Amino acid sequence: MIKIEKFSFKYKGSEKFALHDVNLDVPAGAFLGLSGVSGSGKTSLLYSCCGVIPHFYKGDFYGSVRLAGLDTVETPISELSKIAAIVFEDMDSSFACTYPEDEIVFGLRNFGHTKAEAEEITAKIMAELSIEDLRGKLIRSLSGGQKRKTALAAAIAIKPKVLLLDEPTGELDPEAKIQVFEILEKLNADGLTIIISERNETLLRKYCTSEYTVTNA
Amino acid sequence: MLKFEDVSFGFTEELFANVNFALHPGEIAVLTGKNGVGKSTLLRLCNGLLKPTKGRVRTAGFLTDEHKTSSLARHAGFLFQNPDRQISKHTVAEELLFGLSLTAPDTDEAEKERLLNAITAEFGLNPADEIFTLSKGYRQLVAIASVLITDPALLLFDEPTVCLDKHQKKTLADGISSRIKAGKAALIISHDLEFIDILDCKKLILKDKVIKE
Amino acid sequence: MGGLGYFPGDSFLHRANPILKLFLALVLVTAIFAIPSLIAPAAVLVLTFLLSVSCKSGRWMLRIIRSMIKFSLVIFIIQTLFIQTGDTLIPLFWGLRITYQGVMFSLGFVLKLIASALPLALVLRVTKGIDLADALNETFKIPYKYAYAVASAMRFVPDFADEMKDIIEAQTARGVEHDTKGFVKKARLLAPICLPLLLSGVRKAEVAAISAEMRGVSNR
Repeated sequence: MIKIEKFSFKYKGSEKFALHDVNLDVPAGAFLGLSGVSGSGKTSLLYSCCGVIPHFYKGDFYGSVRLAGLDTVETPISELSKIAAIVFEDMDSSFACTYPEDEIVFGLRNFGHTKAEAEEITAKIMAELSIEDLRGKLIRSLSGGQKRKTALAAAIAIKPKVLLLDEPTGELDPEAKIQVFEILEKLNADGLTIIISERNETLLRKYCTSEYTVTNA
Repeated sequence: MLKFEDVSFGFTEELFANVNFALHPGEIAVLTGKNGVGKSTLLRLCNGLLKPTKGRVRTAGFLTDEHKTSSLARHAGFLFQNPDRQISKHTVAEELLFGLSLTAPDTDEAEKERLLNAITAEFGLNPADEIFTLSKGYRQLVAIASVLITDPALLLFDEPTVCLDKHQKKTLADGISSRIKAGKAALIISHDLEFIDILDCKKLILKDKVIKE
Repeated sequence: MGGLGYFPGDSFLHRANPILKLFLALVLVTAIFAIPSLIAPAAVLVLTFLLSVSCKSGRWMLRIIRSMIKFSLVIFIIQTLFIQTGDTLIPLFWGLRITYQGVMFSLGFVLKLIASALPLALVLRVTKGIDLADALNETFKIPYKYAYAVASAMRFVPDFADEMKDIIEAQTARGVEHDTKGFVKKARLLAPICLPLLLSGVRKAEVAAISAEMRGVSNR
């Protein structure tokens, strides 16, 4: 699903490589956990998998990254975004709307669904993730776990083939962490390819089916 | 060092009722509890960012009712959940010295230099680095170091390990322990079992409006 | 800044067409500055307050007015001191004086300033950004991407206010005297929070923009 070959990347204005000589092959249906020390480039790798690098963050790009066979440098982001969805670490800033249900509808309508269709799919997804009770509540008033689930719902609503998650459970209490991972496990079982960076190694090893340690050395 | 005397707090509904507990020099307490139960609120009562609706909080001997938070800062070092909210300067050195200039404005240049070198060596930081080019883990360490450089008697840390890797957690645990041995005290909110295990601490749970051991 | 941004509700104003609301607010603001008499800002003030009451936001509006008055006080004082022509009301030191014309002009200016901010604040309170984006896109055929940018700015207003509160809290905990009672000192201390606020603002905007692009905002 994702094939990375001899890939190195240096952010514009930075002197050292954020990622250096990465070779990684992620088959369809994988549940890959990224581990590595702070600053090792986990976020940069996730950004590279879906084209955020180099489309939004410019810099020196060596080697190749292919997403579902498409070269991420040459393919426009509007195409890449149909295949890969990403949930950012700073999810508070990533929300486009004020309410959870609007947030899910937002992506769906952008990808061509009519208002009625979008609302129908939204209802289904909210039921699937058991977040119907969040309807009509302001996103900014939700707990960390509820926000994570909302961001997750918005990401998977558009039926991506790959889901990328950057530290999705950092601020959650242990119970909420497990809830998030259980949802991911289910999505993975339904065929979604998942790549996740996670500091909690116990969780990472329990749920992920493979692990890749990122180093920028 | 820290004493809650019959403390109640709540805006519209009561979050805590008649909380009593004390933290003595040389002690670390880790506070746990579910999301939304009011742990961060409780920590804000400790340095007067919030005042109790009933009862009294005594921090390093001072009643929080009677002293401003900004003047309690030299006794109580407070770390927020999100390091980016407390970072106020461009470079690591500027940030660390900023904290010091507020709590100990009379420090001479030589002493500043010594403290800066000591703390950056301890946490593996480079004084010249621009903070916003660092990863979140390192930004968190900068925030932690900017509190510890002022050598407060009481450490109040809210989820200090959320963005830290294993190695950084160990550095932090060592840093806290050495200060506790020197007679300081610490109240830390954390869910991080890995981290709690390497700290020699007493465990508190905030549940049903009170603190239990 | 507290309390700016969307507040849920089901009032007549909440349900009204977003573009109509924005248009009316702009008409009111234009009227304030186009009509020379002070009756215009006074009428807008009363009208906006009554509209606020109609969507259960009367108390909120009073709070906004109160904080606007505090803010305007500084402007009023400076402006009054700048206008040195006219009949002396109170002589001051160094030959400065407060004049009748100065007071009247500054009072009018401040009144207009306050009155013109309120209709927009009310529109923000009763309109979801995303609804405005849809309406701008459908009615005026503005490309969705740009319509969304407007909506997104609205969605960030309360975040920005929260962020400012958090930064002030964090700096106070480190010893910056934001908790002083002195008004002038407090105002001076606000300058150093601009850097962290700006830096985090830029970062947030960046994440928001990329996130919207990754969710196809340009496709529409």
